[in-house]
Amino acid sequence: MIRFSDITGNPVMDTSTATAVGKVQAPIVDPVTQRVVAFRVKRSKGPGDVVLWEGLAGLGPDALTVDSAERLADPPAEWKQRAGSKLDLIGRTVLTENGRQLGKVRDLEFDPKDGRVTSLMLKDAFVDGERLLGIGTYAVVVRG
Amino acid sequence: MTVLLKATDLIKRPVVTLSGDDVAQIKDVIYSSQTGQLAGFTLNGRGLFSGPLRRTLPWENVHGLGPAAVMIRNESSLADRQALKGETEGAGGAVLGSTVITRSGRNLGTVTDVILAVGDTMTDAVGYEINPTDAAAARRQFVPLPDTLSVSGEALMLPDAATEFIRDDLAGFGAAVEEFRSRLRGETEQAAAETAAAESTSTRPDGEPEAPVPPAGPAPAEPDRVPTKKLPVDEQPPGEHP
Repeated sequence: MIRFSDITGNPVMDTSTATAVGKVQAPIVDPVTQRVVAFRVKRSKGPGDVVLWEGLAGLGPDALTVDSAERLADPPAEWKQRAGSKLDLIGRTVLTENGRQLGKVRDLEFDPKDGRVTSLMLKDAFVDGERLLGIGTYAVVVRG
Repeated sequence: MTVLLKATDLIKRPVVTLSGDDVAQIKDVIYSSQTGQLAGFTLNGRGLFSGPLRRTLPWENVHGLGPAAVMIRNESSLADRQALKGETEGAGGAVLGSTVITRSGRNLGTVTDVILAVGDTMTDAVGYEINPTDAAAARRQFVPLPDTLSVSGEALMLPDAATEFIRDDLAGFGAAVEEFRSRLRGETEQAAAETAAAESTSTRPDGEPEAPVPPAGPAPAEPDRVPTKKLPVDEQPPGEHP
C-alpha cells in the first residue's frame, strides 16, 4: 500500500528523455469504483496537467514515470469535472450517510497495483475505502 | 436508535447529496397539521446571497439526519413546493410562540421549540421546549406531547398528567415521554370504560332532578338582581347633588 503523502511532490519523470516533466499534486479518485484513476500534476511540461492511471509507466517510492511528456494531457471528458481542484479528496470534510461529521481527509492509502483506495486517513480515524459513496464540492460521503 | 433533537437546530443545516454536493440548506421545519409529525422542510439556497428555493424536501426523501448535515440521495429527492401545501409551517406558524395549557386550565408557558425524536425510519414530535410562566422554574423546560396532537390555534391543550413529566433538560426526557404516553394510553382505556359505565347509571338520576330545577332556579335569581340594580340608582342622585 502507498500513502499519497509519501509521493506528493515527487517528480514525474519522462523515461524517454530522463527529465522531470512535472510534480505530483493530487490524486483523482472515482468514488464509484473507489479507485485512483489519475493524478494531477503541477508544473507540467506536457500539453495538460493530468496523467491517467493507465498512462503511468511506473509508480515508485521516489518518482512517477511516464514514457512521454505527451501523457500529461487534459483529462478526458468523463473525468473533466472530477479532475478539478474543486473536487479534491485531500482536505475535504467527511460525512457519513447519516449526516454525522467524521473529520477531514488527511491522507489516502491505495493499492499501487490497481489504484484501489484502501483507506481514507482522518485526524484520528481510518475509513475503509470501500465505504466511499461520493466526493462532492461540499463533502466526502461515506457509508455507515 | 432514536436521538432527540430540537427542530430549530436543523435550521441552516446543509442538505447534502450522497455524492457530496450541498444543494440547499434548511429554511424551516414543516409539521403535518393532522398528526404533528415532521412533514418536511422548506429550503434556502446555499451561499451568502441566495434566497429561498422553490423546492421543498419531504421527510420521506430524507436519507439521513445528522448533527452535521441532512443527507438526501440525489437532487431528485427534492420536491415541488406543492408537495407540502396545506401543512403547517414551523417558525412563526401555529406551534412556536403559542401557549401550552393543561386540560384543567393551568398555563405552563409558551412554546420556544419542538423536540423531535429521530429514529431510523420515522421522526415524531415528542415534546415542546417551553419558556415557563412560573418564574421560580428553570429558564427552559421540556413538556412531553401525547401521541397525536393538532397544531392549529393559538393555544395547545395537554392532559394534566403532562405536568408530572416536565423535565429541565433533554437527558432523560426520552424516557419521560415514553412513560407519559404509556400512561395516557392506559388512561384512555380506563376512561372509555368509566364513561361507558357512567352513562348507563347516570341516565335515570339525571331525568328526575331536571324537573324540579327549572322552577327553583329562575325564581330566586330574579329577586336577587332587582335589588342590586336599584341600589346604584339610589346612590347616584345623592352623589350628584353636592
